[in-house]
Amino acid sequence: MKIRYLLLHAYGMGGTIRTVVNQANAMAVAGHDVELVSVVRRRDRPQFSVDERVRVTALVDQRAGIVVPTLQARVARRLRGRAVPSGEFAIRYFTPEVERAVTGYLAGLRDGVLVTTRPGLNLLAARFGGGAEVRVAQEHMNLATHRPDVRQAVLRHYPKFDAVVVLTEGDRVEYSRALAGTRVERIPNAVHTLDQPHSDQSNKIVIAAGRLFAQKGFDLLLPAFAEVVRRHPDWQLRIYGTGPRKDRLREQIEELRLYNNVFMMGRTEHFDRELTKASVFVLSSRFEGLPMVMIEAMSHALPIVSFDCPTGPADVITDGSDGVLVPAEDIEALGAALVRVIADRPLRERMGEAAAETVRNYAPTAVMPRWETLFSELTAARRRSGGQRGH
Amino acid sequence: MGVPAVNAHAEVEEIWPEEGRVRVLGFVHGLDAAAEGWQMVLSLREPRGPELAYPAVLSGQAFEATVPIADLVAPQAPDKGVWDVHLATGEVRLRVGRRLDDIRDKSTIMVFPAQLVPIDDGFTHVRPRYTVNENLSIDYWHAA
Repeated sequence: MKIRYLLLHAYGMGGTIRTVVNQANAMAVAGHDVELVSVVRRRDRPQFSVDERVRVTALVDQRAGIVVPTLQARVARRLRGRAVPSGEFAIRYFTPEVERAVTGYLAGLRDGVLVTTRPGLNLLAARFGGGAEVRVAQEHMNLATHRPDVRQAVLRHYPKFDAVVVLTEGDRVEYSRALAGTRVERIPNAVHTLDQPHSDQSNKIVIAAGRLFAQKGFDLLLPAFAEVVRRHPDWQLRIYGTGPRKDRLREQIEELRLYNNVFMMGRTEHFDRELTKASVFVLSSRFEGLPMVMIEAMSHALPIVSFDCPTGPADVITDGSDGVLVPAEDIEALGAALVRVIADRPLRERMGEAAAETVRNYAPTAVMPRWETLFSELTAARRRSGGQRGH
Repeated sequence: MGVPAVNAHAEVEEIWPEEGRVRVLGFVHGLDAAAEGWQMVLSLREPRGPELAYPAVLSGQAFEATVPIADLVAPQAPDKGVWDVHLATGEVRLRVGRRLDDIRDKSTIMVFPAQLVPIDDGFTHVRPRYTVNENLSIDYWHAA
């Protein structure tokens, strides 16, 4: 099969990019003809390792800077209407030049499976990508998290897809209901490998990771961890990541007198090793899609303590078995759950083992064949119907 | 007492920059700390020479010492300066630092709050920090 993945920035960092690169690599390994199409290019090379059989191309090279849209271009777009609603969280990427490049690329497609990977690209593919034989939209966000204009466009245009693929069971139910008649599948992202050293539960380290901004809820985690420090002053919290909230979190650490226990670690090239050293992973997000970093932590046999936020944690974690789920944004409950697992090493060991078992569902060997099957089924269905589109 | 091992140092576990003081807790590493008369000695980097000493309490290998920040604005360098922190007794002088854990680049990761000393027309900021070699120093700088 010929499979094209359209990605906003294949040269960037981030969870979506990583999982799409992993999928592209797996499809290439399975013998398919795979192309990774990056809408923009802001770096010389991809940050995640791309299989040499995967062709990487870019539509708009922004390495020398971003072309500021002319007044004419902006007026022209105002007149014909934005193809990507302004509520798209990545709207700043979709300049008139970028929109034009994407629609031009889509209009040139005559065959193959086209996979688009975020709302803005999905909406463009729904409207302009009819030349592809099969179109699949990946949707990493739950319907309620989209801003109203994006949600409206999703409801209107996603029925043109052969399939919409979501990450969690909750999302599958929601999108199926909203897009009656459209095939909606749940395929979780895969971790890159299960072959990871396990935590030996010897270090007094709780680990968290994510971009330092409101979504990740580190401002909720800090007061919860203050409760841990009151009872277990020799435990550390290490937060990996960078972001705009760093200074504010630093102030909060000072106010809570946590500077001997909580460390903002920044970026690391060896996050795997840091996970292995830890004894608990904590997720304090206000919302998620499917938190891959948590699933990655499970591959190191780390017990999880997490808010039961929409969506993801409840899909993955069985409360009391491989982790502890507490009500979303309940700081006191998060602190109490951390204290409970920290005080009980045998519990952590049991939960860690269960986590390493759960994570098998997210192994590449479990997930990638589901994509292959889906693409084959959709291609066969399309050929049976003689290329007639259902919508 | 004997000659200390080359690698002996005073390992920091906690630093509390609060209430006009900097309190440092840790343990002596690589040397039997049984001697009497331990002090926390601060030496100014530039100009070299001025030193401050405060009693350190030892319990087994563990030490604890407290430095009042108002002492740290050296008349020889009123605008800014750096104090290097040692734990010393008799001929023995151990650099205070945090070298035994797995965290490198501590200066950006283990960050401590600055405290203010009111001086004339403004404040002098005092902040403990780790050097590139993971040793403990205390910076001060004047801001009008």
